[in-house]
Amino acid sequence: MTGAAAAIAPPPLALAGIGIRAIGLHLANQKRPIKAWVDRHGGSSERLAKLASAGAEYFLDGEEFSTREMTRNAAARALSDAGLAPGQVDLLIFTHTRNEGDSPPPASTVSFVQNALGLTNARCFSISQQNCVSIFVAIKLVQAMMSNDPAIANALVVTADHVPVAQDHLRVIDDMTMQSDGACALLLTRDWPVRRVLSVVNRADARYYRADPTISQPNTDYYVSTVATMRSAIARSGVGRDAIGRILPNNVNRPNAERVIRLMRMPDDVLFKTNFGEKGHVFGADPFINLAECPSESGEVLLLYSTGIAGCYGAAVIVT
Amino acid sequence: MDADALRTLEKPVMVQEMAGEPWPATVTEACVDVSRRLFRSDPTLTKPDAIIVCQTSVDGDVPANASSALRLQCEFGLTQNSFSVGSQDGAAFFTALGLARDLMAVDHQIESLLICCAEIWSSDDLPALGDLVAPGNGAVAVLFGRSGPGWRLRALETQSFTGFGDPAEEPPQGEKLGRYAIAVQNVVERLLVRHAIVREAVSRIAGPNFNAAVTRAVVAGLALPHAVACELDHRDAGYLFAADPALRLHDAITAGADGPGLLLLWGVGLSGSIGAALFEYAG
Repeated sequence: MTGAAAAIAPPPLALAGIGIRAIGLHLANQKRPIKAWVDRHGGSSERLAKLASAGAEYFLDGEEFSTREMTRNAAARALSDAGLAPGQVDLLIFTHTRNEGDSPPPASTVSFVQNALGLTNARCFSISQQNCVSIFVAIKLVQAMMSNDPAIANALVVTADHVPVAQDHLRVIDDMTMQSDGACALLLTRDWPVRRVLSVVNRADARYYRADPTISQPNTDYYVSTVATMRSAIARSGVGRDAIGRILPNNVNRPNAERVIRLMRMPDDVLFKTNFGEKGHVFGADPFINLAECPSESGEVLLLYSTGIAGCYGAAVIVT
Repeated sequence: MDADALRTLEKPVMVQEMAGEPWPATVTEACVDVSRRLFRSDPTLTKPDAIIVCQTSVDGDVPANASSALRLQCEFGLTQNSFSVGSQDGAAFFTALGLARDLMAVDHQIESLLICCAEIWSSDDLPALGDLVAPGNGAVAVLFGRSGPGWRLRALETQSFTGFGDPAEEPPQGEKLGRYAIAVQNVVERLLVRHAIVREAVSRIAGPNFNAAVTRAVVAGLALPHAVACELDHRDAGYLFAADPALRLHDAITAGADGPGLLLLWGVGLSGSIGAALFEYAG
């Protein structure tokens, strides 16, 4: 770098406290058995068996709604559940995994949602390119923005993805997971006392940036990075590993998740497994769908994690 | 936080499509190309600690889901702190500036941050825009840091307005074009008031290569008494959407005039997001 570092640097700003005030979901309402997809594409019984052994049972097929419509509906539900007026939302951030997940330029999904919901005071943009971990990045950014600007009180972070009909054959990744269509909106409020975010971290093994399909099956790096990211989230949260009551995974592959739990040296029953079979992999929304649906007691500490294609990893510790 | 922590460490570097010169085929390759040029321009530069990509056009490699941010992260050997800002086309650079400032305020491990903006359009893109703008291909990389000589970000303002509609369904024209100019004026006025900056302090205005009628209306409407509109050095490059403000910053900086006075940079997102920033030279 040119130039010397400042002689006396100011201390870093304290991170603003945030909590998830409301979670709004729009999940595709066509719940189909994985056999329907295998039959649709002429797959074999062996392929069906592989998917079943990965924990897949159903997938959510969203023919009726576009990505931006799902985004709008999830955001509307979160806003309604939070009991906030549209004008009280200061930020709207959309995240997506698929490169084509946003509306085709020059249109934008955030503008569509902003106008549909009347979010007249919200700054609106999207965050992407960390694939299914982009929502963790967005939460980190909300925290940084709130730390720097006391005027920001409420932020809507919405993630949504939808496999278009023309790419339905890509819905299954290497017989490892079955992707579903849906959206999840988080209404984040400064100093909200419930579902407080104690930490949120992300990292990437960017040498896998090519997302080479021949290495889509988890290798050693996958497990090392997943566990390292989860441990980093716990370390930054200020709670010990023993305080973690539940682990809310992405719903990609049940055996792989069970192995992650073993590597974390935690008991198998902390893993919330219901949605591997019931919903499939709703891209970046998975851990937060699980947060909305996993039974928990007040004050319980939850560890959320997700991994994304091309070597992306994210984790967060949340206390209910 | 004071915007003082963010300043350009090196003059931005840009590449643009020119006849007879090889041009990257994808946005990802363009980001790598321009970033390498930036760091080759000064061997004393150390790698950035964070990367923000601004792009509107879509990389077409669907199965691989190509990520310019991850590609750059690999290029510089980072394990975190990269992402892309989208959905704002010509205003995304300003959001990236704000996020850079905020991230550096809460994370002192980030000493420098690279903002890389790039667009590559295919002939099938943007059919609805007609004659509003001439889309161009280009990439610009800007390295920001906490200290050192360069152009300091003095003040920043971004805002997203409702009511502009879907530019793909309702092409901006006629009366709507005037609304862009009014929105920019509102954001700049707010920028000046919030940061207690007198109008006379602005010496140059660098606007986008967006639409001549709008840019003229902005300059006239702002009526900044001592401000001169910067020449568009790369007018032939077309309108670079997310990369356009960075290109105008590049042009304004390379034109010299490292003297007193503030440089006003502004940009427009077709869906109604507006950004404005004031830079001043700090030697």
